[in-house]
Amino acid sequence: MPDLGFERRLHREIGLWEGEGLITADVAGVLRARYEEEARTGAKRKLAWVLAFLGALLLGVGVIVFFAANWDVMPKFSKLLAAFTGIIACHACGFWLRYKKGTYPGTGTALIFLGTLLYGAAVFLIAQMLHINANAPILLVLWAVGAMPMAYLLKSRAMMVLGILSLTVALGWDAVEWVDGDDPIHFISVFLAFGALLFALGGLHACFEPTKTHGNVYASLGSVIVFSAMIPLSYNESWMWSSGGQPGGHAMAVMGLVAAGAIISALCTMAFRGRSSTALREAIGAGCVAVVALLLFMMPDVGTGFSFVINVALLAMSVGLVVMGYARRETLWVNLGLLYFAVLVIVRYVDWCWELLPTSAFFIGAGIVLVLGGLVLERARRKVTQEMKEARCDP
Amino acid sequence: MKMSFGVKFAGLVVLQLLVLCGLMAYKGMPLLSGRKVVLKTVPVDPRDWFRGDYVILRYEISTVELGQWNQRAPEVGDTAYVRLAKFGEFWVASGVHTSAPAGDDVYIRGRVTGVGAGSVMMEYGIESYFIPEGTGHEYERQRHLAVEVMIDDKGLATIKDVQPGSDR
Repeated sequence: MPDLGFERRLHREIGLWEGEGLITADVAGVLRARYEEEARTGAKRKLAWVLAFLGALLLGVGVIVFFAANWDVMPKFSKLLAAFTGIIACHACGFWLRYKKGTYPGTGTALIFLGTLLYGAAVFLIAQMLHINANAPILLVLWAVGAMPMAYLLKSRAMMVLGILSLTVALGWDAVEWVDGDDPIHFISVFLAFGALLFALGGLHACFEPTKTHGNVYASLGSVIVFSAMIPLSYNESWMWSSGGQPGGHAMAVMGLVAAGAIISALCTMAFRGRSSTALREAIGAGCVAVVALLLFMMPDVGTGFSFVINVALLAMSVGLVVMGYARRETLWVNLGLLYFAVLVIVRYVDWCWELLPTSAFFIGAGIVLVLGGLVLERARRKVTQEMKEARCDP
Repeated sequence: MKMSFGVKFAGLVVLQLLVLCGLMAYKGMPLLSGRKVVLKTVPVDPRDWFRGDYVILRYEISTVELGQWNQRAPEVGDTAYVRLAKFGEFWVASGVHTSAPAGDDVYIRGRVTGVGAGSVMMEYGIESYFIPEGTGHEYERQRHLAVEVMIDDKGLATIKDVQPGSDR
């Protein structure tokens, strides 16, 4: 989409320059025409990319569902041959369109992405043919093994998201097996540590030019996982579910590896980014979350009072992300921080007021909270993002 | 020598194809070189997001008596090798080892998924049998099934076929 804020500001500035006599009316007209044309072509190009990407996504999902139907009229070998041919054809055509010919970069990128979706479909087709157990995490790990190196080479955020999500679901499938089923705190703390690991890896990626593109992908997905894991812990009731049971050796080893990975990544980030106080705060934050997750995993029976600490931590996280976005001049973090704050307010409102008020009052109150909250948050977001844009424009 | 971008890209496509071939070779090898055993099971019919309908197979050897364990008490996640012996039409568990055994006996490699009072729950990677969409009820009608499993010399098992079982 065109940057409407920039266009509005530019029009205002051109008017001022014209009024002050800095530029003539002719030059002002040329400038206006130039940026209007650029905005139009830019919007068309982005639309073409989005359409091609959505088309690839639909095609990929369609192929996965087709293989999943296990249609026995088509021999399995033919399906396999079609999958292999599809992977090679999509990658080859995509590469040619984007890098060799260069005339259809959007379609080329979408075809390469489709090739990686077909690769995932082929993994599941082979697993279906050989009756590998359902929910076997190794299949999603293999998908990530194919997608993530490609994401690094092509600097593709979409493929990186695909790879990270595959690993996240794989961890969930695995954790269900080895974490004590009676204690949800174990399961949640695994994700808390994994989110911290992703967030810390995001910081580490941002240290180096070739991996900078993926820094925010890792960090934002990590923050989403940490926030989602903390929300259930913010309820008093969740601490009553804890049986206080001890996890087994395998579970401890995996959890230890994830938490250690987060702490080491945070330390490396601190070492590489040195004096940057923003990076230091982010790394310390990720390291602290990993340590807390590890402690919770080993001692889940900490009592219901801990939900208060989690609520304070959620609030600190929301504010911290807004501050981080402001320091980095990145609207992504401001928006995420405000979104988490809004979700936290809604969750606490429902938690505290559902049983205390008659249902009608609840809905009226919720409506007022949402409208006023939306107003306040939108105003805050606009103010912060505007300040950031102006700061960016300042020499 | 610095690799060109095109060569790196082609290398990653080849990596994807190698992963697929490796998966086929790893799990398909017992079908080519393994020994055939027939196991008794009871079916249930759920659905996988990526692979469609399948039958959950619960074997008699999925529960092993703790007394058959020849070494230390097992923990969830441990690998174990269950010795199989033919008893009538089906093969049953006749002992458990925590390390890969030598000799001509048939062993199946599994993972401990639970430890109860006097028994151990095991998984062998052969608990799902994928079927064409909508055919699950045909399997669910069976009281039990006879599953032909191929096991290689390392204990890795792959399902070859599933047939309706007799009531023996």
